[in-house]
Amino acid sequence: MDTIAETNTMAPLEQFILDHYGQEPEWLLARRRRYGSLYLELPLPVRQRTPLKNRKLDRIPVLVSQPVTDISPNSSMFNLVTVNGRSVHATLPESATAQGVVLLSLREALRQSPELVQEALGSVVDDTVDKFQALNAALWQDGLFLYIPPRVNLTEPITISHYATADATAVLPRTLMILDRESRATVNEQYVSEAGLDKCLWSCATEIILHDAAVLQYGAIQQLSASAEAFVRRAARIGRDARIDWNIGEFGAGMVVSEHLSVLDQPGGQTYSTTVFFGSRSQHQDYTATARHVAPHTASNMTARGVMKDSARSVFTGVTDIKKGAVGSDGRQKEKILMLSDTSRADAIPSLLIEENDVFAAHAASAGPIDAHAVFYLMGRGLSETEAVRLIVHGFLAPVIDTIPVGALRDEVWAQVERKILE
Amino acid sequence: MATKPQMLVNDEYQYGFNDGDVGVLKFARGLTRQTVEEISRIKKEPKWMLDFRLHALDVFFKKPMPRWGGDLDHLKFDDIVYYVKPSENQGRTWEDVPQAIKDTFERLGIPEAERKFLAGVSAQYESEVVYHSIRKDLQEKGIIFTDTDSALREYPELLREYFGTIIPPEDNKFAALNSAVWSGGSFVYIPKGVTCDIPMQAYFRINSENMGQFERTLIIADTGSFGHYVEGCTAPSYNSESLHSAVVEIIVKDDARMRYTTVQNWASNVYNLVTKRAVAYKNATMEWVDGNIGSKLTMKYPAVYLLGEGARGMVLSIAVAGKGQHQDTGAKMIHAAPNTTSTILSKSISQHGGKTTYRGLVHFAPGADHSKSNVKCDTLIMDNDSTSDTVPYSEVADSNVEMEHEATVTKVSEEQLFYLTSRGLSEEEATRLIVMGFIEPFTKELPMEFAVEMNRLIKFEMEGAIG
Repeated sequence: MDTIAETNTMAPLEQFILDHYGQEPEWLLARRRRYGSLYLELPLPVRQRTPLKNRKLDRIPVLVSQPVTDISPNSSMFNLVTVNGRSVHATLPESATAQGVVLLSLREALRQSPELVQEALGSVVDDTVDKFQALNAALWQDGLFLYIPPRVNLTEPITISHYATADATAVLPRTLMILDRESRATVNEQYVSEAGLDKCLWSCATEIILHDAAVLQYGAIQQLSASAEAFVRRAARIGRDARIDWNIGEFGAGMVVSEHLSVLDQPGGQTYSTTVFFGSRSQHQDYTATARHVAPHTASNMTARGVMKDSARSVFTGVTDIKKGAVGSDGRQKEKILMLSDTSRADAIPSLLIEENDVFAAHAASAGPIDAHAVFYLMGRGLSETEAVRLIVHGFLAPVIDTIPVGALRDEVWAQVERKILE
Repeated sequence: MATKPQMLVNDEYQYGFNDGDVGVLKFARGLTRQTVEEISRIKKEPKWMLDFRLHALDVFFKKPMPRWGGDLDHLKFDDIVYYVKPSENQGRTWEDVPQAIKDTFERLGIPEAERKFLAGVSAQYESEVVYHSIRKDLQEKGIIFTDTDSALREYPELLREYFGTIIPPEDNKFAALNSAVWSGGSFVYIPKGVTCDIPMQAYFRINSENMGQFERTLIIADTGSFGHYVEGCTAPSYNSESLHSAVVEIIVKDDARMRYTTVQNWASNVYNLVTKRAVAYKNATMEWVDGNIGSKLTMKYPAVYLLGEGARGMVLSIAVAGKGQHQDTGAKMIHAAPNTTSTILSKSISQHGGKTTYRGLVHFAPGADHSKSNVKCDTLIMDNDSTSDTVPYSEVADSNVEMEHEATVTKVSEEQLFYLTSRGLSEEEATRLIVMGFIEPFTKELPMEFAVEMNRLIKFEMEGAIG
């Protein structure tokens, strides 16, 4: 195990990059160095409702552990597993490989399809926005690469697990997915970690490129331990008549700042996004979902449902951004929050930024308590109060969770909801 | 559709004339400690007010310019004239008012309106109130309606008790500026249990180029009382910028109800940066009816702090942004007591390259049990060059509350247009009808003559607009 203790000046950082990434092609090394110096320059992200000022980043030990093979439970269930940022396992069903589907660590993909990676890396996610993002761009570990060839229709979901052990201090996953013309796939990413004594920084980046008429069901379920602080940035560029469905379940981590962005820059592109979050104890959750309509006749629909208990705090910002020229576009948002405690707090900022008149844009947001009459009714039928509350939370989330088209992901989300209700 | 929806409010400004230089005393441009001391000296103010002003000036210099909202880069504080005295004395009868100023207000229709239906009228020209009257019978009931400068002389205790308590200078840069150089504005006190069932009206007019108008209004509705205050604003059109930065503080005590109606129709060279806030105590009701038609940039978010159990707050607003205009408006509702309710209804129209922004906040503090809020924002974008942002913030820190928010952004519906034109209406008439229907929830809340004026403004400007 090798760590870097000092990342507050360029010299040791550069040495670190040379020591650990020296085998990589020159363009990538240059890129890492560039973002390394940007990481030192850039300020911490300024989040209006998530104070980050007091975080000390200059002594993050970035773990570069040896690949481990079977540390993650049930690793055989997954097509790809990363442990502390290192890829340990990648398998695809015979049928998929036969059709030319590629699933590799990103570093391996650099050897196999260097042009594809060079062209796509950093083209969708903006790595210059803040310190955490630049850190990911500079020091991402093994990463993950998925390519679906034209017209391939993958029926089985591809499942990926990111796992961190208790001693991990910084995990920097980077995912790049390219779906070629008219292909279809389902991908689920899962984030799990062991509870650690010290804080663990997760800085995650997922880039998705959908070529014309490609369709992706993207699922992510975050159940990190309370010692984790996660900064997640996901972005998809959506081709002509292509479509992405985001299904995001947010349950874990002591603090999480997560964004997902859909760039609709070709006509007919569509994005549907469902976020389910459940805050408990002293969790701090800050989510942003953005649909950027650039091309005409694009559609977006973003839904969020959150349940808040204990002294958890959440912020949900939805942004429907319709640029000039995106005529005939349709952008909608709906946010609903169920408050289970007086000490929790939920903020919602559903914004519409509209530069075009021939469009339809709407949002609705609401927050409210658990219906006392409903609890009373259920208890009158012999249920305990806990059981009644559990049922009502189920009823609140069901319309959203049950629309998740991937069975395994849906079940996992429900399992997490159950866990949180009882927590 | 062959033709596009037509203009709603003409960008040509009706009240853009000016009267030349009529002031009897006009300060040099720019703001220093001397400016503030001089204003206070001319007004023969007590020491505490001068101290208040000077403290506010320090706060103003210290505070950075807001980096959000509209573009304030072209606002140069050094180019503004901070005080202009238009006449020697305040008129008690209409005849006392200097002829040039009288002509202006005649053209704006002020005295005529007063004769008809108002409880009292206050007319502010530049920095000072030039004319003031209140109906005798209301005065006898104990209602005070005067300008804030006179109130400082005549009701010093009452004023000092409340002045600056709702909006302290530290609140924001422009509240600090107003606190330092304020002049004019209205002071209203409605005694316990008194109902003032006809509106009191104030009229604000800027005449000089680069004028800064900083009126300061304080309204106290005592226990169980009711009042309705109406204000209107206009200014001449110049090529350089004027600044209107008012502070309005309102206290609505237990069981009282206050309504504050504004129709702001500044010329398109005026920065309108206003802080308006009310506190509502037990079972009190505060209503803001807020129309923003003119100005270059308006940043205004009327607020109600619902501090007493059962208090109610309402904001009903429209914003119309035409060529080169940005209306950055909204509302704030702070629920800080149980069983409080609030309603926000916002209607925005952007046309001819204008921009409207709805920026609002609904906050539920811990302990605001059984409180409810309903927010609805609708926007019509009339053409391809115009834009609109909707940025509502909601903060919920109590489990026992209900918050609902809805917003839409659309163009004039083609189905509605089709339906109306198939009934024999021209497209122009149909568009007008749809727009009138869109803002009707606002106009129906206006006092009669304001609603008539509003409809006239819209109808008149739409006539012959099709091309």
